[in-house]
Amino acid sequence: MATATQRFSARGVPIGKRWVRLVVFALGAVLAFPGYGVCQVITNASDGTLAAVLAFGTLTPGSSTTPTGTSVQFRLRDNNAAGYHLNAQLTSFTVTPTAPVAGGNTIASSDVGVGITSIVAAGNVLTPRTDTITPGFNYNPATMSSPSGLTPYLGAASGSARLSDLAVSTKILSGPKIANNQNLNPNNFLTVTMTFGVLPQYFTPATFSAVITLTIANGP
Amino acid sequence: MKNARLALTIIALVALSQVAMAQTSGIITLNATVPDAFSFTNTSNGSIGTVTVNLGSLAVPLSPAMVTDASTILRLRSNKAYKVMAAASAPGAPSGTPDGGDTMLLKDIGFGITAIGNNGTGNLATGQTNTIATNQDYTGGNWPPAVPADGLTPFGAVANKGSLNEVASSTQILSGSRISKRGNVVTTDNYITITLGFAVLPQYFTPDTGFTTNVTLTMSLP
Repeated sequence: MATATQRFSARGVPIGKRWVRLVVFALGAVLAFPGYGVCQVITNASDGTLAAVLAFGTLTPGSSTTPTGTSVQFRLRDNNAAGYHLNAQLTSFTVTPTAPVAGGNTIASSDVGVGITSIVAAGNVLTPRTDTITPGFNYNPATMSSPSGLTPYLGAASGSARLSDLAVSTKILSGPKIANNQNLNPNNFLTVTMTFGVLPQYFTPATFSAVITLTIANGP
Repeated sequence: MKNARLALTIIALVALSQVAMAQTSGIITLNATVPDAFSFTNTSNGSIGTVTVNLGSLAVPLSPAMVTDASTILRLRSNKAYKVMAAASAPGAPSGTPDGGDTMLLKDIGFGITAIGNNGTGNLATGQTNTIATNQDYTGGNWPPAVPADGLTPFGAVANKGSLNEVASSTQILSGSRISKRGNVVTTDNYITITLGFAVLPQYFTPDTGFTTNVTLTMSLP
C-alpha cells in the first residue's frame, strides 16, 4: 500500500499525468518562445559535420593580376521565427617560415580575402526572403583585380573583407527563418558558398594554415 | 499507463537527441605553401627567352675602338638570398683559316655587369644588397672598357676586366640578399635591374662569319 501511495504527487495528481503535463508544458514553452533552444544547423554539403580543408596549393608568384581562389559550400538550416545569423572567426593563423624574412614581408591574415559568393535556397525554404550578407563580405575574392601585383583586399570597411577582419567573431550573414523545421531533410536549407582568395607574391617562403570557425545562432 | 509513459519517454529522448545532435558550428581550414621564388624578366616583365646580342662586323678600324653592347637589361626578383650563374658555350671553328694567326675566342670578349639599379625601394626588401664577382664587375666607371695602347685584348681573369672565358663553365657572377619584399612579377618596385655588357676590341683575328656563343644565366639559391 505504501508503494501505491508514492505514485501520487502532493496535490494528489497521479505521477503519470504529471509527466504528461510536463511534456505538454515544455512543448508549449517551445512554441511560445521559439527563440529559445537550438533551432539552427550548419553542415557540409552532404549534411555531415562541416570540417572542410581547403588547399591553395603552392603560391608561386607570377604575372597574374587575379588572385588564386578556393571555395567551400555548406548548408544552413533554421526554423527559428526570429531567423538566424552566421558568425565567422579566425581562430588561428599559423605561418611557419622556411627561410629568413630578410627585410621582406611574410604572408599575413590581411593578405587572404574572404567573401560569400552564393546563397541558394532549396525547394522548401520559406520565400520570399532576404538573406543579408554583411557589407564587405559580399564579394568574390577570387575575381578581384590587382594591376599592382599586390594584395587587393582592403578590408571589410572598404568592401573587400580579409581574414584579419575575423579576428573576433563577426556576423557575416543573417536572415529570416529558413524553413519550418531544421531536420536534415533535402529541401529545407540554404547552400552558402564561401570563397577565399590570395594573390601569390614574393612573400617569405613559408607554409601557412588558417582555421575559421563558423557558428550559426538565433536571431538577426 | 506504462506504455504511455514509455512512449512519452521515447518522444522526449528523440527530441533531446535532435537538440543534442544539432550542429551549430563548423570549421574551415585553409592551407598553402609559399615556395622559394626567383625570376628573371625583361624590362616589360616578360620572359627573357633568348636575347640576341649582335656585335656586328668587327672590322679593324684605323683608330682602335672598343665595340660594346650594353642593351641587355634584366629584372631580378626573389623572396630569399640568391645567386646568378653564367655559362658561355664555346664558339665553333672560324669560317676562315687561321694561317698561323689567332682566332677570336671567349677570352677576347669582355663580359660583365655594367650597372645595378632599382625602380624605387617601396617593395624592395629592406637592406637589400648585391655583390658582383670581381672580374665581372664593370660598374663604377669601368664601362666601357678602355682601349689599350697596344691594340690587344685587355680582358682576362682580372678585376673589372672579366671575359666570357671566365664563365666558360658555370660561374657565379652575382649574388645578393632577398630582393623582393612582396608583390609579383607585375609589381613596379620590387626588383633590381642588372645591365649586362659585352665588349670586343676588333683585331686581325681569323676571318669568321659565324662567331656565336650562348650565355646561359641561372638564378638560384646561393
